[in-house]
Amino acid sequence: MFESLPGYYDALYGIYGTMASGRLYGGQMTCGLVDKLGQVFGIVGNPSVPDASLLSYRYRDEEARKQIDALWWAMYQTIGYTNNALQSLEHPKFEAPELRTVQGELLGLRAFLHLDLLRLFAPSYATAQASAKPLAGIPYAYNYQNKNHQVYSTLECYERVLRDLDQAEQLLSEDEHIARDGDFEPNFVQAHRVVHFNKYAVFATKARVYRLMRRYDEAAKYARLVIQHSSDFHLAARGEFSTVTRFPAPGELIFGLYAPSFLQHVASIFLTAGSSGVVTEGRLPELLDELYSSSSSEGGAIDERYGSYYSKRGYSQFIRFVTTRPELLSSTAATRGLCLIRLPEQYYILAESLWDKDPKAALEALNAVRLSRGLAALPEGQFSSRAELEEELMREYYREYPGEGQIFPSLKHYAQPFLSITGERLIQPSTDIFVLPQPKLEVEKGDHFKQD
Amino acid sequence: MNRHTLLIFGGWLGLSLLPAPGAAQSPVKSKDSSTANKLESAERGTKTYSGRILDEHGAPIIGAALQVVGTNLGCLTDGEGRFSISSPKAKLHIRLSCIGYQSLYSTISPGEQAPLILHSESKTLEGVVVTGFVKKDKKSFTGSQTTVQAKELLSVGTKNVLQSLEALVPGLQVLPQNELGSDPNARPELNIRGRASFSGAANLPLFVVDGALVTVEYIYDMDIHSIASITVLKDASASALYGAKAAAGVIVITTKPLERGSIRIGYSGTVRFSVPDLSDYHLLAPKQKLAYEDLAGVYRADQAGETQYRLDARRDAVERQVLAGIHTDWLSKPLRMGLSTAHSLSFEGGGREIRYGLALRYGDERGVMLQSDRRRVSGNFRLSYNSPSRLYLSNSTTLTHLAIERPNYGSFANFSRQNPYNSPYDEAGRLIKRFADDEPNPLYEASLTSYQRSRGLDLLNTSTLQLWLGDFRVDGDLSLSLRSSKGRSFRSPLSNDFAHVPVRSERGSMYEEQSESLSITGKLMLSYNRILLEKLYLSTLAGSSIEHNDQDASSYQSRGFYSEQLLHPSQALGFNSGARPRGSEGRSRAVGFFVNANAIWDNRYSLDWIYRYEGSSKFGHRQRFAPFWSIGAGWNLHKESWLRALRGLELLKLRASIGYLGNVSFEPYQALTTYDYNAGIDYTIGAGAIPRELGNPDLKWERTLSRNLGLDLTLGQGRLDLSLDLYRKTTDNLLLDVTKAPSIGTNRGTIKENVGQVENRGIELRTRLVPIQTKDWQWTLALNYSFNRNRILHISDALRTLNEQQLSSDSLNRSTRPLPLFEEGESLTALKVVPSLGIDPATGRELYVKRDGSYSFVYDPNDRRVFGDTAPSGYGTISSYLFWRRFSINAHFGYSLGAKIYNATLATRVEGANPRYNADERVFTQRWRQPGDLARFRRIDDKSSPYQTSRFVETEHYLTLRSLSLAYESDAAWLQKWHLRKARIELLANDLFYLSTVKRERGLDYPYARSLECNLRLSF
Repeated sequence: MFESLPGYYDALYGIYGTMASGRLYGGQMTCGLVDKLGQVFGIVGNPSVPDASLLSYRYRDEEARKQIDALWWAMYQTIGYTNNALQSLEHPKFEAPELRTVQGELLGLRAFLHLDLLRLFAPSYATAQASAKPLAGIPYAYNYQNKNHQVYSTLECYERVLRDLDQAEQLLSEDEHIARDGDFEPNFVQAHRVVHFNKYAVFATKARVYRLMRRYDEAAKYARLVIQHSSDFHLAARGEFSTVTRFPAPGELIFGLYAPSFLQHVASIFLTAGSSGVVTEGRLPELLDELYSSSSSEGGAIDERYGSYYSKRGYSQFIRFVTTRPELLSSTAATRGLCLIRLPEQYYILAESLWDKDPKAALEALNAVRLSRGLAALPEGQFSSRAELEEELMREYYREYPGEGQIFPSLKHYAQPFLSITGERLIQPSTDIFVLPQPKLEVEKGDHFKQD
Repeated sequence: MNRHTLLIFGGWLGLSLLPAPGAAQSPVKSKDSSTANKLESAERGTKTYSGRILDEHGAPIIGAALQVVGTNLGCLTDGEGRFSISSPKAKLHIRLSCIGYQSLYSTISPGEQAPLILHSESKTLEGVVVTGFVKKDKKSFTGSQTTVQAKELLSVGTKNVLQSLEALVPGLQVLPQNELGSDPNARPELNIRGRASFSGAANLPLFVVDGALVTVEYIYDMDIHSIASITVLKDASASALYGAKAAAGVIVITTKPLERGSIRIGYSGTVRFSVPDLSDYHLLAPKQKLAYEDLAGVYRADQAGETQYRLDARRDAVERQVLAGIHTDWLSKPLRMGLSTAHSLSFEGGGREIRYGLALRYGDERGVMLQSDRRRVSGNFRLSYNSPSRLYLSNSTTLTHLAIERPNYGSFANFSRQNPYNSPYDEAGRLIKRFADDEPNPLYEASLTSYQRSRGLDLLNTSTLQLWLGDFRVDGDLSLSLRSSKGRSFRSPLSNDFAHVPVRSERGSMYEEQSESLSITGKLMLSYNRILLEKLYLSTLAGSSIEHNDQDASSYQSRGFYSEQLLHPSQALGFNSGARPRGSEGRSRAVGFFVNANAIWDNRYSLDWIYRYEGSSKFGHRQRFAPFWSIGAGWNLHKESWLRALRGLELLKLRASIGYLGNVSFEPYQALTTYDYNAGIDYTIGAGAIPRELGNPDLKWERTLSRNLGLDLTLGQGRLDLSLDLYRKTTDNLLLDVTKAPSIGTNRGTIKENVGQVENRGIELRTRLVPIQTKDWQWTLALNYSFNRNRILHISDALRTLNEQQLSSDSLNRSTRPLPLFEEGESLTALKVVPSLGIDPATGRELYVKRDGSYSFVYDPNDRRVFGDTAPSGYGTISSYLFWRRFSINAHFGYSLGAKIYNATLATRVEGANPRYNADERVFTQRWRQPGDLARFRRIDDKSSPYQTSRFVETEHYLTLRSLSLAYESDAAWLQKWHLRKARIELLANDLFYLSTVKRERGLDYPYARSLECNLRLSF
């Protein structure tokens, strides 16, 4: 397998392809389980459906348990695949300049996957920091072997994610030209950097990590590195939002995956008809109305995201990825994919990071996204405190990111009370909600966290 | 080892292994001896000794070596078998030896001698043990083995080598396959000294034919007449040279050696009649069947959608058939008298240096079920070159063609379950396709053009080399085995299988498979033997072996045939949607290095040490090589002065051995992480590959620590012969799935690790008694007894989880085979069922006993208890060989004691019987019908499959007459009229009776058979 470059590419595609499957980012890690935990989607009308357990964070329920266990397992399988390829790179059987890129991508992916596990299965960075004794994180896997991986403290895990990302950054230093070329040329690796874990995906992920760690200088630095790379990235112009709502989201996509079966999966969940008044999959229309409504100060501007993401037919229907079934059939291979890192997030990170030092620049960053989405810019002095800004950012995540699995991690990061999917109750932040339990088998057979 | 090697080894053994007191020091060196000859004859006062050396037939032996014992003096015989030697001594102790002949010690006086006769080697084979590497003197052999000569083997029958072997070798057990009966195409499964694996029923031993490793199929299809002897190596000391493959025992087959002389022709022929043995079937007659249906409520409308009117009409129709006297004997429909024939013809001849042999064989084995055939055609050509004491080369090529046909109508069970009141034909005499109750007519299926056939071609080439370099000898062999097979099975579009397929173009199917395998093995070794300190005989051996295996198999299925006459895949209309061709391929290599040292002191004590270091590509890189070893010791008590006084004691030997043997039980790639392209992973710009499974580079051999203690006793000139062996084999490192933390990232959640541990211990006894031995009469009685107990010492948690999962499955708890539930401390074959009190007379329901001793109507699989072992507590054979002049009568009885059997007939044909089908008579007589009935089986209208409980457990003791034969053999003068040297005719019957304490149907998918055969052997 690892005797030639194509072998490495195929191993990489194997990893990306696995990530794109329904049990990971083509479902559970995005619009599936994780967005249900974010109170974005879920069937609440029918108590017999397991979604109820997830929406009310009853992780011990059997069905929730099963889904969470499967997710944990699938994530570590994928990490195993990256580690197996990385292991072979310790003593490569041939030399090629491309191997640097491959190694960079693999390390970046390892960090990315571990970070997502941390965001689900470990306490938030702030909680861990505030704790008097070190809190257990997750096993950090460095190899694909028949032995347990050491469990590190949450804080240590974040450091390890950063370490992998640092290395990836170095290896991918030459990786400049990111945006996908118009032509769809299978097997041409150079032309498809956006569906590879490229250098800017490394920067963006670093910005993500530093933001979670509230190390805002570094977060701002990396978010800027992405934003300033304007040759590849730029927010959609006002009025052109419809061109970037979904994969390949030209200009806004930093890292995504080809996922040939993703749209089919999405359609089967979100395009099934629901009867009026019943929340099938998604928030109540009234809640969405409230979320996307513009305050009077904005001069009645309309948030383009609402109409592009949802259709209202008495109940809300999530049409962001695929609008109708005929559209599903006509979609081309080049558009069948999913977004994992998009540009707006970098602006949010920038806004959050700059607030303490430069509130004006922070507001500018937020406004950049608002303007692109058809909203009016928020005036200076809109926010009197960081808390207010963060509240608005959280709302922005809800507006911008349904279906991408980014909302639950932000809820956890901000740790403020939030509305349930039906808007009926306010959910108080707690570790019980934010830290998913590790599989029973992991507790039985896996490594145990040792405090030193 | 090649068949010719035999001769050579024999000669060599003669030279070195059988030293008389004050024996020879080294083999003859012809150069030295000739110079010595000249030198000594030059001296004055020397005497000349001369003479001829002849074989039994009076033909001169050319190149025989004569050596004066204790000196370097010697010579070779000339072209007329003459020798001449000079010495000043008044008498000479000489030793005569020649390849292919027994060595002879003699004392000669000066002058012309009377002719000295050397007897050919094959007659002495009984005194040696053929291990496939070397031949060892039986008296100093420290291992546990059983050697079976061709004659004994043939006395049990010519049908199946392995079955014959079972009758003669204690500890070897061919597993009863109750489903497969006498199916000529069923591959036998066998164990030597118990089973040591968690999956499957058997650990197949290693098969070696003349030094080449072969498959069990090869043995199954080989010509039994070509076999000279079979040695079954059972313990570490006997088989450690095979190292990593020897844990399950080794079966070494030696084929008949080439004999010299003018061209000789041999013929063996067999005609066998087989008749099905249906004595265990006791089915219901039409009237009873209808009565049973009534009682079982078949015609009671108790299910939604059934109307009483329709059921009544059905019953009327059936009753009309019963009254009309229709009584179809379904059992006989697919059966026939199987007529099998086999012919082998051999030609051989040659001189002292070059010999050749050609053997041709045709065998057609026809089973008792229609369309079940196994046809073998094979040819063997052998050539050898022999330059005595210098070089020996030989090559043997065997090509076998195999044609197999299996019934196109499926299993025998399809017939045994048919209702007797149905006739397969309608009024017009046409075959009915389906009966009124929608049951397919199996006879209709048989009439279609469907078929199931396969063809195989098997090539085995073995080359052998022997080279003498002074005191050293080099042995080498190289064998190549090439097998290919092709199978096709066609289901006619008219078959009932497709009755519910609506689309015409999807009816009919063709399945095609092919497989190929190549195996190359080679061995090179160097041996050196020496006598030291007069009494110490030392033989050493060192060498290396290599092995390469390659296999490839693929299959696909096509479907859609418009006509049942379109019998070729090219006529198929398409494939099953989404179906993919299947296949597998594997490649592995192995290399081994071995050393063997054997020391014998004064013919009294022997010590044998074997070390083998072996590596295989199947293992992880961390465990690629592993050592195997054995140490054995023997003590010939009868050679001790204090026992010599005991008259009649011919042999009393104690043996003990210990050693590690290995077993390779996994696929070539399990130790490596390999990648797979997966249809589910398409990354649009490229195909994605993911690891098939996390390979475990720590995987290693399953190891067996084998301990053996043995005793050999021979009394009164062979009147009593006894071998007793006690053994204990602990197999560890057994490969099992081990559950892993999910974060390890395995694909299945488990990884194979060497964690299982199983122990087998047992006793083997082989006795032979000759009560009568006169000039005309000889009567030999033989008894074999084997006992084996198995115990699980360690299992993995994954296996425990599997146990629990299986326990919780309702259908598995009702299946006809008891679940294998492995628990430490219990046997692999323990029979675990829920104890039952029997049937409650008031309700007809079963009453179970719970763990705490209370009674319940509710079945709980956790109440299972061990009810004994399905392995017998003792089994073996009793044989009688009676010779009168040239007649012989042999009988072999097989017996087995104390096995606990889960009687599937009771569970499926009596109690779990589906009233739609025919059932065992006992359904009628022994089931509960009304309150107050004291019945053994549940209420008659309960159609559900019963749970596995102690009610179906029975203790089996059986006695069977495996074979009975009458033979006449002659080499009398009257034969020569027909240019015959020897003739032998034999009548032999197999499996004449089977008496068992368990009443159950045997041969479910294929019935058992009794057979009678006539064998003819002629030598021209």
